[in-house]
Amino acid sequence: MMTAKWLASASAPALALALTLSTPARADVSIEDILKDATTTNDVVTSGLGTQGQRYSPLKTIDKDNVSQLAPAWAMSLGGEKMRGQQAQPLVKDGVMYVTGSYSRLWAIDVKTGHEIWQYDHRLPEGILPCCDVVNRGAALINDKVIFGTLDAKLVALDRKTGKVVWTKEIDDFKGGYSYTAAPLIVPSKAHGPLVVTGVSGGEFGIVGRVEARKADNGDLVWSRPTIEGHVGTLDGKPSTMTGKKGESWPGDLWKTGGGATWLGGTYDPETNLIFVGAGNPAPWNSHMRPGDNKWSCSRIAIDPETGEIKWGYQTTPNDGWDFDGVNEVVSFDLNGTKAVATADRNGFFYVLGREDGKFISGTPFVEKITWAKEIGKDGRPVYNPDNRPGNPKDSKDGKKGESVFAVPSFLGGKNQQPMAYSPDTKLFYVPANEWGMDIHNEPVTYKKGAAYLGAGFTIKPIFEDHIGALKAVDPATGKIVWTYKNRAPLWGGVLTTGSNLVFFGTPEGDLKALDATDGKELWSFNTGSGIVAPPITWEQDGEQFVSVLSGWGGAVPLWGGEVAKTVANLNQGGMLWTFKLPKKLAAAQ
Amino acid sequence: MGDPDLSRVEVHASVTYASVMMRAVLRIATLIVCCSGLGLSASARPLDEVVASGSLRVISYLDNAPFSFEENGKPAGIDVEIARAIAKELGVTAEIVLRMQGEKADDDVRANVWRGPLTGGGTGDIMMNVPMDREFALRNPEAVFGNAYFQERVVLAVDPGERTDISSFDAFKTRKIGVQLATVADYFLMTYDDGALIENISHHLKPEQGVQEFLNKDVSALLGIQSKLESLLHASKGRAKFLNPDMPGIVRKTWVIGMAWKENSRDLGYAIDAALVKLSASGDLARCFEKYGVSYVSPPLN
Amino acid sequence: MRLLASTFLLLLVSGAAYAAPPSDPLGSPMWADMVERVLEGGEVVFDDKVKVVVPSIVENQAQVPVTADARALPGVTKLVVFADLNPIQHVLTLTPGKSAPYIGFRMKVEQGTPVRAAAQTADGVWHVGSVYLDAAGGGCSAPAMARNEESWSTTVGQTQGRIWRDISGLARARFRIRHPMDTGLARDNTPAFYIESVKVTSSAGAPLATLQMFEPVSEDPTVTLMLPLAPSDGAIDIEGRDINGGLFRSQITAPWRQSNVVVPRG
Repeated sequence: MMTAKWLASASAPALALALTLSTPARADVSIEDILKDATTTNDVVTSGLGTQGQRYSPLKTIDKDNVSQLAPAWAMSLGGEKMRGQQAQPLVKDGVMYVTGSYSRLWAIDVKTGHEIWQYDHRLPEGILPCCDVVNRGAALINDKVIFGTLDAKLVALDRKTGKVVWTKEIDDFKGGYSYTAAPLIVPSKAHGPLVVTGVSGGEFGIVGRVEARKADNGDLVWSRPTIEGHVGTLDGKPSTMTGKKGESWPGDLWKTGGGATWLGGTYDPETNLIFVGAGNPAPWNSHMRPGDNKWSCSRIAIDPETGEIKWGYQTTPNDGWDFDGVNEVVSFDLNGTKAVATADRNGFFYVLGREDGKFISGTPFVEKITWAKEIGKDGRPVYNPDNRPGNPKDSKDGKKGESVFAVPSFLGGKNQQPMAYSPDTKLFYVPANEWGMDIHNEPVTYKKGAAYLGAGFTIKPIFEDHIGALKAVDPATGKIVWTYKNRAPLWGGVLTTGSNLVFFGTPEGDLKALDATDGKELWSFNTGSGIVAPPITWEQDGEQFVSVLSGWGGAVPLWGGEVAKTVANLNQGGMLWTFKLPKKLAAAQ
Repeated sequence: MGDPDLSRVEVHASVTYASVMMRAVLRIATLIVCCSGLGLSASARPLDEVVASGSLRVISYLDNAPFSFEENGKPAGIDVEIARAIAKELGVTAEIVLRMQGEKADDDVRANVWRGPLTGGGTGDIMMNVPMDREFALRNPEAVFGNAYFQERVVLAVDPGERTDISSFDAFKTRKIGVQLATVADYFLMTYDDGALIENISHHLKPEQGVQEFLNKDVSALLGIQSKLESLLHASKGRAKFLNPDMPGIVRKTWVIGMAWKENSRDLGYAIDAALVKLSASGDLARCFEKYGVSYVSPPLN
Repeated sequence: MRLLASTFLLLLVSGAAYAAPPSDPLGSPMWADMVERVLEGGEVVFDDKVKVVVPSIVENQAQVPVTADARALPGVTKLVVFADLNPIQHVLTLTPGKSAPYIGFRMKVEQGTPVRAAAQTADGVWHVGSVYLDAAGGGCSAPAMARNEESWSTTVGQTQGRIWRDISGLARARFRIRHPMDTGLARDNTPAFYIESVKVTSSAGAPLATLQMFEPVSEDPTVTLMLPLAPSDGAIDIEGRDINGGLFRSQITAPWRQSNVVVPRG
């Protein structure tokens, strides 16, 4: 009773004081901080631990010998009944962690204690996104702001200190089916200062994808770049240039409604001053209706941050017939002195391209038993297996359902949204892959709003008895798989690698694992209580190395049916942010 | 309402806590109290519950004219009229919710009939504008499908003064035709005569855009759903004549729309069926369609 | 011992002792806390010149009409309304500028509670008027009516209002801004979402009054203010902002612009 009253009278001013004392001075996150994030170990100010997206930290305190002693420092619940998939990568700056959660929420957390400093809970309109999960893949830091996208397709910039809204912009109308889930990308520009680069998510089937850049200060649109041939971009409020040539690789007027959504955001390479973004699949589904390459659907494009002009494009799946979205991340790296990028596509091939010109260097399978193409030819184009393209319904006996084929990988891809990592020490990529295939057929009738549309039918199936998930170490110089770590359930979180040759990643079963980066041997594992579908980070605070990851099962994953569902049948939802470190005396002994 | 006495007890007990804790504690206390009684049920309910509550919750699509759309912020359209008429027959009021569509109608049935959207808002007692399709019904066993109220059909709309004989789609080898992307009509046109029409097909995403092109004479014809074309032309005071040339190989030329409700609310479905029979016999059902310029086509008996 | 400990801490923290607030005629257990948290120091007196008007019977706990009126007190710089036993106590703060220290609005109450208006004068003294509001409860934790209207997002921020000439020479402006004003306490997990500030300026750009609002203000806030609007000014501009960064701008035209009534300049 006494203590309670004592606290009651003193608490408000005391708390105010405590906050001023314990919250470190929060310096602005400059564009320089962002560009050198890969080398600074005391913070993580970009998605990807550096704009190149290598997800590599030079830290060595936690190493092969002591990682087995790694233990939780704290955990924080994301609370409420709002569980579901937690897919965000946390950011850390000046002792404060910024992390987004399901249902468009964002937290600032004291990294020493794991206590919440503030929370922003976006008010979502009811009934949006009836079908999809409610994930968010992270925020961006710039200056005094933290910026993230919401499920009702808004971009919200908050004051890092207070969590109050500084500006908010509508990316598009959520009633048209738009939303935003990717982490925004911050890039420098001479003319406009730092820019916030986003793509678009969702939108009615047949909407054309685009990339947009806004001023970080106020959210004003600077440029916009459509992903499909024939559409004109904008720069400073005026029409700029056309993407490609009108309908060059599309039949008739289908380029007008070509698709190519850019829902997974992008990476940026300061050396070439290029933004790399991937574009999704083309519309309509049935590839027989749109002979031609259908550019730039299922492609990677390199964009000049000043003008939004396309510098190069590379198409991974021309005339896509399997729903192999081309959105997976493009990671810049040094290939024996050559400026290169690598990307692990939905279609099961691992591509190495020239960073400056997008020139094809190699394309090799990173998952097994690929059926849709025999190989990637020397010209960089897939050598299709014509038999493995889902049949044209018109050619079927009853004209109702096209011939069904079993295609590998499945439309969820050899790799999906979960980001890979690259170690400049081992010179290997660590790709969170999945080994699965699908029965796929073009089916003429599906319904939308009561109207009859053309659709596609899929049934996903594992191709091995004991595993779907497979973390692969890929040598980009040879395309060889150096080692594979098998996991029963599909991998849906990202990878982190460190200067002490460790690879960290989480599994849907809930385990955060550390492997030896050289041979894939498991060195440590911790059960976080719910499935991990988010990428881990590491950073250094007051001489100690920390590892953080979100745990919370969900995302597209629980919607899988059939055989795949069995591997995830006993997983429970969650929403917990975990942070690990070595016990102090062990760390000191290093 | 929650029990006010209980609420007061909770408040007094928590006064001794630190004041900064006050808000959080009260929050929890009020939540506990209020969970007992407040709030609205938003799951599909059997007939007795609907009648007892005095309100039938009906969900249809946002942006699906002429069946359901927002007009000055209020639900309007054929589905809305029918829902109100049915509610009246049941002796209750209609609470009408218009909701965005998912990727497929299967997603909509999940969100509107049996599970509810993840972002809240709940299910309805009944969902309108659902296709009556055996395969579709088999894929969605959590819902019951029935109470068919209309037959949709794909027709060719041309200018009323059109003199050319359009008895075959060969006519569009030399003239433009509009169609909604990825629909069964689109598939028919794109694959007609091994792609002979492709260069003359103008795709639109929304029927509104197509009708505008037709009225601007950017296209000489539209291939689409009769109800949509009729109502959009009616609303824009445009005119067309509807033709039914042979469509060799079209995978579906007609289909029936009806309703869906939750598997455990079958008696509600029967009651609505009885109401529909009355509305059909009195001609009220047809009038719901005529109000929006749509010719009523009663669904065939299976 | 209890007193000693808290005084000691207050000294330690603020470096200045508060004068002990006068004891509350309504005997609220939260009174001392309220003085400290909402009024943040300054001398406090109970003053009949500050009036709070509430209905004797509450019909709807989510929409309780409240009038806070400190016009009898000269030199008011701030008018704060709070309710001790609400889960969220601070309701709103009016910074009247040259307008009258007067506000009419509707609020949510969770249970019977003192409702108070505190008017701060230039000398820093808070003049407090109180009334006990008897209510059954539930207003804060019931979901907003807009909960089942999926169209709230299309109407949010729509504003309507009217201006009348008041006998005092001021203009009485009443406006309503459409907004769910979610408290974040409802059992349906809806996060807090409310208008946090409203600025009223004359159409000529002169600031007239600013208003800070919190969760307890009722859904679709309906506010009455007494503004020093010159007869030559034809309209007021209202700018509202919610905690998601939504900005709502609107203009209310004074009817005397269209009428033939000549109002003498005062």
